[in-house]
Amino acid sequence: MTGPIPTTVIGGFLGAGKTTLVNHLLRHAGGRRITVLVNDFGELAIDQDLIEARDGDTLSLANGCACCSTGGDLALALNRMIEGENPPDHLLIEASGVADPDALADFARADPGLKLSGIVVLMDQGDITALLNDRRIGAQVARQIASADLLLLNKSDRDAPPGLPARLRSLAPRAAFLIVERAVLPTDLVLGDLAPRGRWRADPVLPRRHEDDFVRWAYTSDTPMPRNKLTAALTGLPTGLVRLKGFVALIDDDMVEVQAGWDWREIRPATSYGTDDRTRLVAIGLSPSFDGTSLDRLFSHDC
Amino acid sequence: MPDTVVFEAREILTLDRRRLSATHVAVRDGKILGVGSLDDVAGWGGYTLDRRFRDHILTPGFVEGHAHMMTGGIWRYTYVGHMDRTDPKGRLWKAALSTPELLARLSEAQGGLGADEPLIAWGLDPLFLPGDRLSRWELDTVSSTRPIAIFHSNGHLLTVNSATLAAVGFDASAEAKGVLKRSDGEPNGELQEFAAMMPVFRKLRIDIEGAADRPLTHRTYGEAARLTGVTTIADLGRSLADADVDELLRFTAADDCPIRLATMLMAHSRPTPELIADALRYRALSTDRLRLGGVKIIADGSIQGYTARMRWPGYYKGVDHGIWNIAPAQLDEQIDALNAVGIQIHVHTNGDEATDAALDAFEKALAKAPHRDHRHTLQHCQLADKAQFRRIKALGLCVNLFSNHLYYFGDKHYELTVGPDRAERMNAAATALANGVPLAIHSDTPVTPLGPLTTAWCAVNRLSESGRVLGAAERISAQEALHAITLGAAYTLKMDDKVGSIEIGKHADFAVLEESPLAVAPEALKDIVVAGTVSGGRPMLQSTL
Repeated sequence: MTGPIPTTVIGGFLGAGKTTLVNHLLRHAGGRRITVLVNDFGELAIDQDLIEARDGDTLSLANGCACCSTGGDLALALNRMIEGENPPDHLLIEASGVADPDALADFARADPGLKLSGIVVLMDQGDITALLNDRRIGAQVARQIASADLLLLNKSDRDAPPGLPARLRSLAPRAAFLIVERAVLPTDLVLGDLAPRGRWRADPVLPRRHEDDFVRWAYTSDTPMPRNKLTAALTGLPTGLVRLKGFVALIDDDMVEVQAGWDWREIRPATSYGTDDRTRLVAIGLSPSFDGTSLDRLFSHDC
Repeated sequence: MPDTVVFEAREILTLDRRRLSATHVAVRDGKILGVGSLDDVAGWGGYTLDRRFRDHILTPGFVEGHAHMMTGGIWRYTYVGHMDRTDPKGRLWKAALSTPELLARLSEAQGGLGADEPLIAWGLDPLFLPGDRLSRWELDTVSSTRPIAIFHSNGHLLTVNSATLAAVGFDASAEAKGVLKRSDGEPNGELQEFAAMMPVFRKLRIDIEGAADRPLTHRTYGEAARLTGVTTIADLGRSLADADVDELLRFTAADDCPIRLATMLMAHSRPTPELIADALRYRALSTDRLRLGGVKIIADGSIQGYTARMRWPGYYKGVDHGIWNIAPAQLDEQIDALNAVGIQIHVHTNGDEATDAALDAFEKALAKAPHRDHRHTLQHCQLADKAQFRRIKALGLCVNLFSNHLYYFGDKHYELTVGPDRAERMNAAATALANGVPLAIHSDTPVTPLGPLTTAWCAVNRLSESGRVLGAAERISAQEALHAITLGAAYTLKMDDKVGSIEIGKHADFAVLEESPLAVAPEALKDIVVAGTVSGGRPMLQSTL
């Protein structure tokens, strides 16, 4: 028996780019076996070149991922998957265009077989304002946005009306907020643990065309560092930072857990760092302002 | 010479205006050969005179146009609701009117269970139980070791005991919003919505749909119908697979099957192209006893759950949680696609804004592909106003109104959800008829109990549970109500050529009643005893289970 399956809910109104994001994540699964449950009555619009086999409502992908329509019965599909022989490394629930992502996330919160990683809500810059102003569906779209841990605004040909970021921010004050193009962004960013809610905040960053624009940085050190050095490093984080997290071993002090985003930093006593008492940090940011060398310099203190 | 049986009855209400009342009906090959006096029907040759109904009233077998197969599964569990109900075996379950009564009912049910079996019950509505709201701690007095789970009547809540919470691992650390908690953070045993209920379903192997034993579920459904005089019943919205259709064909082909079934495909069960292909493929498999090929779309939520889509001024008291189960733009597309190929569509609309959206969609679709006999139907359509009924008429739509709501939820609608004005126009059967809109009325069983005579009583009297009259102007006559539960409902199912009245050539499907619905006082309609049915000429007076 393995642990609960990490679960990410992907929501957003019709045409927001949910399927584009799902395809992107499947294409860049990075060795993860992802299962997508599509809780919608649309067709399974998975890129043809990814599909290896089709069996009824289930598509098998060459990289070990799978995509399955729930036929309107998410509970049944979840039951099958949780009780199945070969649970995936990660579960994506693609909500229907009218679904409340938070209600779907509750399945992951409630079920011992699942663990909620977060709620990603997409919007299309071209129509989100009209949708929010729509008498009939505006409230439902606003509820979707409010449920987000990570809010992705897909750029379109049409310019965003002024004030849109502020309006979205007020609807989802706790969410991280990124502007993207064709839903291109790192898989580990989307599937990573988006909690704790209200901690990961970033201002909108410029759209990127390629996943290559995102830079990953990882750092391990056996040498504990002084606390003031850590504080200084966090203060000097580069502007392209999207997210940083990990554990830092301090001199003459307990291990601490560190989290940071665009405009926030957090240090707190580490509770679950296991038996590894080294400093371990990972971060994602956008080139060129974010680069690994400058981060190495900030955190290394041997010399 | 084929066998002919002539049934004699105290009175036969035919619903055929040429001869509204008769005493004899001749049946051959399961169909009606003639109606009238014995002299009128004797001319077809040799016959057997069957006088078993000489003290009874025969009406056309009732047609329930909005019902769910779950009714056939749910009675395997213990009923604990606040109103008396009769199960498909004819057993009367008395109301549980207080928490001690409910706990006693559970203790009694526990006696019949094996050591490891969970105790599952249904029908709870805490608002009708005086005192503190039922919680895990009261249920723990029934058993601290056996898992107990009780469905609320609205289907959206479960109250469970501590053993069940432990079995699924819900404690103070549970994060799901549907796991409701006491002020000290301990789960109080109430689990809200499907997400929080699902782990319990899986752990306790709860099968509310009766999916594990479909043949039994189907037979039980048939029996629930037979007991209430129903000979044709909808199965309104299933995510059918081919195997399910095979099972339905097997069930309805059985010699002792007491019903004709109209099963519709749930629109959200598959992508629209597949939906169309399957609906057409299944339609071709239809038989005399199984009508397939219709599609059901669910537009909004429920009024009592505050999830129906309401126009201005919205809900009377309480917070608007109105939802679209399908976006209005998608509704347009789906109705257009289905209508274009001539598939019959039934749309669930509760709130008046959802009704507007459906009307807009039908108006556009029918302008492009004007099928003259489409029989598209608005299901529930509870809050439609006069202008909407005029549009419904203009578009040639039918309505199947949820008249049972007037009694079962009427007080809540008056006091809380929609307020006095709109409570009085809810399920406006008289307005529908005044506008010439084809009318059916329904129970939506198991949401409210199956029983067309009770549904007729609701539409005729419009009394709430507390005795309040909700809109006397929308009352219809017993004759009109009888039409709505027979020919009217058959029309919405496109089965009015075969059932719904007692006329030559139609199936010999009758309800066998102790009294005439047209002779008793209006307030006594629901008290008429149903002795059984005749289905395809076969008297069905005994349990078929």
